[in-house]
Amino acid sequence: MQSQLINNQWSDSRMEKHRFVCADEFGAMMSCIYEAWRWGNRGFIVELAVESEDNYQLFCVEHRVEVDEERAEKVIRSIRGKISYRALELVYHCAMSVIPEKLEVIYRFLRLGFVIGPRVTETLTEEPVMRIFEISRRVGNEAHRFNQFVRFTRWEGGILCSVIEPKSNVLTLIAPNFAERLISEHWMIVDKKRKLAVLHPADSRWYLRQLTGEEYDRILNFDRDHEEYALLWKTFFHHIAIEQRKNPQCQNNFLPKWYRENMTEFR
Amino acid sequence: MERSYTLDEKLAILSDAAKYDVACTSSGVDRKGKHGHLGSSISAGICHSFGADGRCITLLKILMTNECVFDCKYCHNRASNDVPRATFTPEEICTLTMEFYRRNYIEGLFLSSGVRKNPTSTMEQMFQALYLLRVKYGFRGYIHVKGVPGADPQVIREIGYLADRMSVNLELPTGDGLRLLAPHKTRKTILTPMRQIQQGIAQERLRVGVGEKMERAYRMKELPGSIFNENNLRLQKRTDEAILQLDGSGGTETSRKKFGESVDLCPDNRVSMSGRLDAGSEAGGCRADGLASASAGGLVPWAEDRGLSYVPAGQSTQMIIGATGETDYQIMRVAESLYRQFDLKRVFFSGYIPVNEDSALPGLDTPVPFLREHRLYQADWLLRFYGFQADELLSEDRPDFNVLVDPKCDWALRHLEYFPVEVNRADYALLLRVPGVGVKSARRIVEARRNGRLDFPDLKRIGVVLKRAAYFLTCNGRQMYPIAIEEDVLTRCLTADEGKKRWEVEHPQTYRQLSLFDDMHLAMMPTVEDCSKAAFGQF
Ligand code: SF4
Repeated sequence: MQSQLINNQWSDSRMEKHRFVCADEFGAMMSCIYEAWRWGNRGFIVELAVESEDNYQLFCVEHRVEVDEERAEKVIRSIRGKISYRALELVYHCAMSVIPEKLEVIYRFLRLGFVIGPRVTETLTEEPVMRIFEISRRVGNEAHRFNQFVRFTRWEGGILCSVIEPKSNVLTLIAPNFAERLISEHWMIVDKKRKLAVLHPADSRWYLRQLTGEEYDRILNFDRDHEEYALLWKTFFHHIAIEQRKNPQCQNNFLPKWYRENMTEFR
Repeated sequence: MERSYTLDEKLAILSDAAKYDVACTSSGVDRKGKHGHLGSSISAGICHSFGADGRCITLLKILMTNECVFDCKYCHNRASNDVPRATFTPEEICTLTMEFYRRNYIEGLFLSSGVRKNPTSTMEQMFQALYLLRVKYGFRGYIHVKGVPGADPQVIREIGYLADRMSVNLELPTGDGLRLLAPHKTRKTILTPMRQIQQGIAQERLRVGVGEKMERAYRMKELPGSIFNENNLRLQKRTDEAILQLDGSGGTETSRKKFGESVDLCPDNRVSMSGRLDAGSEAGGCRADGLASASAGGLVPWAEDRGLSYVPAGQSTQMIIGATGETDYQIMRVAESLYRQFDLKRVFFSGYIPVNEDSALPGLDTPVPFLREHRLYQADWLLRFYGFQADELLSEDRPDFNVLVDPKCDWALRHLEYFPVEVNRADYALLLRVPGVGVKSARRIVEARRNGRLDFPDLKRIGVVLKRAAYFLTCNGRQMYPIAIEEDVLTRCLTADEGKKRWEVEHPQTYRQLSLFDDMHLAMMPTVEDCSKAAFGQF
């Protein structure tokens, strides 16, 4: 049975799987959706993925899709217009996840969404809808944690700088929160793993930026632990706990250990 | 007597001294950021860290000073204790708040204080700090400030415009307890500012046209049995006043001079707070016509000019549990009366932690009453979101909570005549009373059954905890397990599960302390008021 299937794939190109691969970046992902969509409409079997080290697959034709602003824009507009803003939100959150099959999930969600329309976000019994909710919720939770746990250090020159190591690509999800509360401050938050930073000059809009090697090194070499207020904060943190109510288990639940590496009070 | 300390030493002393205060929330107010200012506030609140005791850290919780002329027996800072004393200057409070906030350590400031000289002058200094923070430094984060019992109504009035939330500690559930352990405080000096703040909030709310009483989640004001229902509020007025030991005619509103007693009230204080600040020119930029005096409920021009509103996130209080001999029933009745007659947003319970040796106090080896505190919070939840009243949960004959099962199960087991409840017919109020059915599930059931009859698998999907609810529900007349609805049978089924939880609550050092939400099957935080909110924010 198995071999027969493979034979068929070779004999009829429509039975072949076409794999669309792109960079792990929202614009590229949307361009990739656009491309895969066209092939899918013509009856080809398509599969989508973002680039990673181990994504080479046998028995399929691989298409590498580069970002195309215009096409990405079209996809985004259609999601918002033909499905809903909520759907776009889900798609965006999901796209920020680290889960390898996220792009495939988005594609299948959209396939359904463009048929059903706005109601798609209520049809929780459909597998792709359930999946996108689940992934996007996980990303949202992580972003919420970083709204809580981001710690800034003040550099000479007055810039507030924070280094984080999130699993999901949360920078653009948390930036609005900080833009609100630190509206008249210069600040930046650096994603150590992705070498990405969100930058916010005082009183203007924030933007995203890929760091150069030199910038990255400078940021990581900066001393985050001996600033006057960092020390004061540690003092406060240790004195505010009640000895008789000690409860490490509860602390771990609310503040999982992996977040602590970059938090002033735990360093 | 007060030696000079570094800022770090002061912070150590004054956060140590503030740590027994339980409230740590930053919820109840939405405020956007503004150019040239620092901070914003979101009504769900944000926790920024979790201390070694598992409590969330949201606000910079400090005393302004731990000097104190009062001698509350249970308190580390009481006048008769020989402890290091320190005082923050208003500038230091501002700097710490601003710099901590910038670094995303905190959502704002929780300022409390020992009584330096007298309550009024203490609160005047607190006012100074907050005025600087809000007006000079343009801080838009969250501020919670304690009201000191016995302070002049004017400073209470004016400081409320700088704070989001105010709280006056009830300290102990009864007046007798106060007399025994907090000789400088009386029910009246505590309830007077509480009443004043309530009236200030009501006035403000009417001014902006949102109705006098605070919002309550899930339309609790409309639920017939609810403590927030206007009818109950009126009906229970007399009883509540008796419980709170107010005199029949609303005694707390009569002249404050009567309850001065041992407290120096500074009766000549008739100059607006900001006016006085101007005179000292500490704050700067404040208009001289602020001098127009504000009476306890009158206009406060400097605040209104700036568009500040009065205690927008409402009022809370806390009381110590287990230092005096009250029963759970007494405590719940007091909490309920406070919700009803003072429109408090929250009542917090603080399990007694011994710090002083004193013949009037429980011994130093008294364990923290974790389980009792937990049960009281569960019951508080039932009052606020489930439409229960204290009298349904406990009585003179059954004055304490069951240690074996939570208060909701306990009620159900004593009221088997209501069960089983038919899911497809029962009204919302009754569904709320079924163990294992949370607020959100009950709402979803009502919603979902419009489209067809519900069965057990549907309930599971809705989020009902069948492990408990199964014993109390039928779907289309059918029970899930063929089991007799009898008290001892059900008790056995339900306590099997409770045992482990109870152990965890009593031994927080070794096991995860159960959160209320696990216990109450609350799929969703009604208002994110509690410390444990972070992990549950997603629901
Ligand atoms: S008033 Fe009482 S509780 Fe407050 S600091 Fe003074 S002694 Fe302590």
